[in-house]
Amino acid sequence: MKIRNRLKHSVSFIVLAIGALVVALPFIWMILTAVKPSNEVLLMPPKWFPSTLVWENFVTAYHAAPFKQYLANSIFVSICITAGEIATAILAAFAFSHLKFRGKQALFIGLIGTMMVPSEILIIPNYMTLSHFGWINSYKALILPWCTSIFSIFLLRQQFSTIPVAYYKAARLDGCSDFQYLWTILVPMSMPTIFSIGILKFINSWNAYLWPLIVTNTVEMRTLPVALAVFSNEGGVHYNTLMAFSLMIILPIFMLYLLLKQQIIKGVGRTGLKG
Amino acid sequence: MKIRLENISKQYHETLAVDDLTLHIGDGELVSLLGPSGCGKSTTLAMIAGLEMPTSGRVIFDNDIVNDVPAESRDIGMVFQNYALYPHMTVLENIMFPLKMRKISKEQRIEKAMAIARWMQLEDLVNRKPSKLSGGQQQRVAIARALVKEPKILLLDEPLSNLDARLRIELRDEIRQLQKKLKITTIFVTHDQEEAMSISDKILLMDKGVFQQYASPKEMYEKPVNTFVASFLGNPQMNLLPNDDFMDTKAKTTVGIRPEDFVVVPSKGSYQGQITSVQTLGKELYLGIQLHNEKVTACVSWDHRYDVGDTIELDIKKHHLFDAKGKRIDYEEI
Amino acid sequence: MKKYSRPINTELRAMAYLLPALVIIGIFQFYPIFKSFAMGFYTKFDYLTDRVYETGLGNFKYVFSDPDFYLAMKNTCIFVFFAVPLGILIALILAVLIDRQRHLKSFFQSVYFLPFITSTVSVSIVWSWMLNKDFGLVNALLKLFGIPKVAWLTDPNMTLPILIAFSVWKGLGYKIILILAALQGIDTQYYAAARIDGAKAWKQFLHITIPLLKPCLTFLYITSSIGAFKIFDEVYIMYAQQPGPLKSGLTIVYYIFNKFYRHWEFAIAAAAAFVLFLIILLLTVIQFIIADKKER
Repeated sequence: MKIRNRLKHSVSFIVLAIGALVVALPFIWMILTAVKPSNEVLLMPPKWFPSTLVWENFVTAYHAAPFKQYLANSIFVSICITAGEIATAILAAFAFSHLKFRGKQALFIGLIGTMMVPSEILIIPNYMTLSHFGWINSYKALILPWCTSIFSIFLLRQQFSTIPVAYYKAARLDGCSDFQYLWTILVPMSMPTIFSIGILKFINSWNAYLWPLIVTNTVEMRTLPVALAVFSNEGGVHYNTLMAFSLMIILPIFMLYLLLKQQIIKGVGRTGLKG
Repeated sequence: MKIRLENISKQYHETLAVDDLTLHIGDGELVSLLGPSGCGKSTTLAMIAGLEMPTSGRVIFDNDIVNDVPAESRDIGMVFQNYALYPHMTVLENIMFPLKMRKISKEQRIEKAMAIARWMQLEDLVNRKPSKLSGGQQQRVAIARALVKEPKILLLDEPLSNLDARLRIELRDEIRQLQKKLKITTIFVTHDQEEAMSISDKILLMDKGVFQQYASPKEMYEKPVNTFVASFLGNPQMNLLPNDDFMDTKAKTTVGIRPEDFVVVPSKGSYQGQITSVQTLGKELYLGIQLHNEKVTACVSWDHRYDVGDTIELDIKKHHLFDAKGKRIDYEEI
Repeated sequence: MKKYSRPINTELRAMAYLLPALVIIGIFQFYPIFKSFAMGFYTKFDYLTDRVYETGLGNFKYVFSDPDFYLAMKNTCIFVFFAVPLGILIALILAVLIDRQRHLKSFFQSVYFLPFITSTVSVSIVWSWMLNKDFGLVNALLKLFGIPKVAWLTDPNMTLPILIAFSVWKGLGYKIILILAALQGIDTQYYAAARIDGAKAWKQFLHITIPLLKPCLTFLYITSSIGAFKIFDEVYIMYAQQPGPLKSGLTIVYYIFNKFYRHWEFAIAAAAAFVLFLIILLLTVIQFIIADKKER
């Protein structure tokens, strides 16, 4: 019995290991290609490990495009979107969870209904709105439309509602205003949820492609994914620099992931299940 | 501070949570609001605190009508059932929070908070988070936080209900001593009659939003104004029996006899009953007795062996009479 | 007493908290829904001045008589039909295996999760590099087993299988995490009871695990389907901004994007987008009905 169990166990382990290898293969191959000298990239059969590590590929990729500008754009835009979304969602979620006002129910249902509409459909009218505002190809266009999310409002409202009302009463007796209560009590107590919302939003903004592609039309405004897509077309078959470029986009998210793995995974579990 | 409630009512949608309540609380008194859940005691407390607005009636502190005074300006300290200690703040930060809201300087905040922490024997715990404290310690922190701003009134909303029985008794005495020392007007909400009896100067008993009786524990126990009060106070409950078999009064009345007012006598008792059950408790015995057509509970001491099926002779030390509507009839009236 | 501050009008106060979110939602979500709906009916209008000269069903007629649109619908539906169940099935198997591991649980979880958080653009490029006919890793590996070269990216028959594989790969980690969370929510007492009743591992899986995972799997099925209907980025990148060889990768969102961004036919794009919306709405309604049933 014991031997059978152990056998079963090792079989499942092997299946998982092979699966993991397959899943990780594109990343492994990306890294290996990124450090290969140009003459080893197109060898057939391929050479797994480069004879020398060519770190210059990263430098080439970096210089082939105004990478610094793209990076700055991506960081700036992602941070602004994340901060904006969290701030607006916290405020709105507070109103929905703690304040009484007329039309609350109707408004909430309206918002939930809106959440069901796929964002791809909104692209056209939003593009037109922004072009009427004269905002096309600006940070405003990249950032503002994403500075709130009904889903996050919904999640945070749920979170705020789980905090016992006694805290609210206690704080009010102590002379704490609604606004102070929100920021000194509710927000710190809801940090795990806020953190997951923020981190996922950051990753999404960082990886966003279709929207930045549509609303930007000059090099100065491009974000990294858009730049990479353009670069892959212009860059031709220099796969090592292309992989180096790709890797540089993934790297910050990788690092974030390594650093905050548990929170991210928990956050996905949390946000996913409540959707 | 004296508190006066004048004809207070509170309506939530369809339900009347508190119905025309009038109440005077003297300076420095400890008053318990007692009643089963949903009786309106918490709503009453919330209206005193200013967390709820009465639908009608007046709340008066000393000589000021405070209906329009917001909670934070009423000079009230409050302890909640689950303590509502902020989990992300240390004990010290929790105690300092009310002072911070009053924009008191940081040095003063620490000084005052430390002073009260010392006084409440929390000194060694000030840098811990609430989750690292025992229930009793959390409770002390909550009291410290309520008292740090030196309120004129202390409100305690079922502060002991989350503690185990032993600790509850210990802290109950502690609260009582503290209150005596500070001479602060205190309102204590509870659904536990024993707790209310042991701690209060006066008890207000409510049921379904309606005032029942407001009296000292002793008076309420000895002279319950109606059958609800009679049966709510005391454990085991007072036996309430139809009068037919007992007194000679013609009126349709109810007789109330507390279990401890039965006396077992060797012979020639006024009543005869058969034991149907025997429950042994630490210091006494509860006997279930079939008395005429009624089942009653008697509370007797260990000095005799009782068995189910035994027939015993009983006398009654004291009884209460209630009219058809359940209202008390005093002896003089009979 | 100290200060007798009157409470400010509650509606006004709530509005202050809601305003930032509502302004953004109003401009970028509420308004576009109506606009997009209306625009589908604009047959003649000036985009610059936003003046409408003529309305009608012309755009919808055009869309429904456009073979490209049907092709896009067909491709998208085939994609959804295969990618979603396959993705869930594989994720379910892996999640159950991971759940039983004693060691390296979180390692496996992390590896499988990686594709989900990385930029679609980046990984699409790697994929197209690996699928390169002459120099790609995939063909090189196949050669080890004696399988001849496959023209992955230029053979129209390969487009949908590749997109399906890509989508399964990318979404695996997300699904595994949700299933693992649901698995951990199953009370072990059920398994103990089943063991005592003599149920073997496989029976336990079939009669306890699967039924108790049903809410989670349904949720995944619906949300994945909604997501899958919106496939675009990977096609656009992997096929060098083309809809795949012989339009074999033409999807609904690609169709919309193409009409809108390439041909500036806003109204037709809006009409097509509206059709997509209806499909997704239908899925959402189904989700609600199922969720409703579940609660009863």
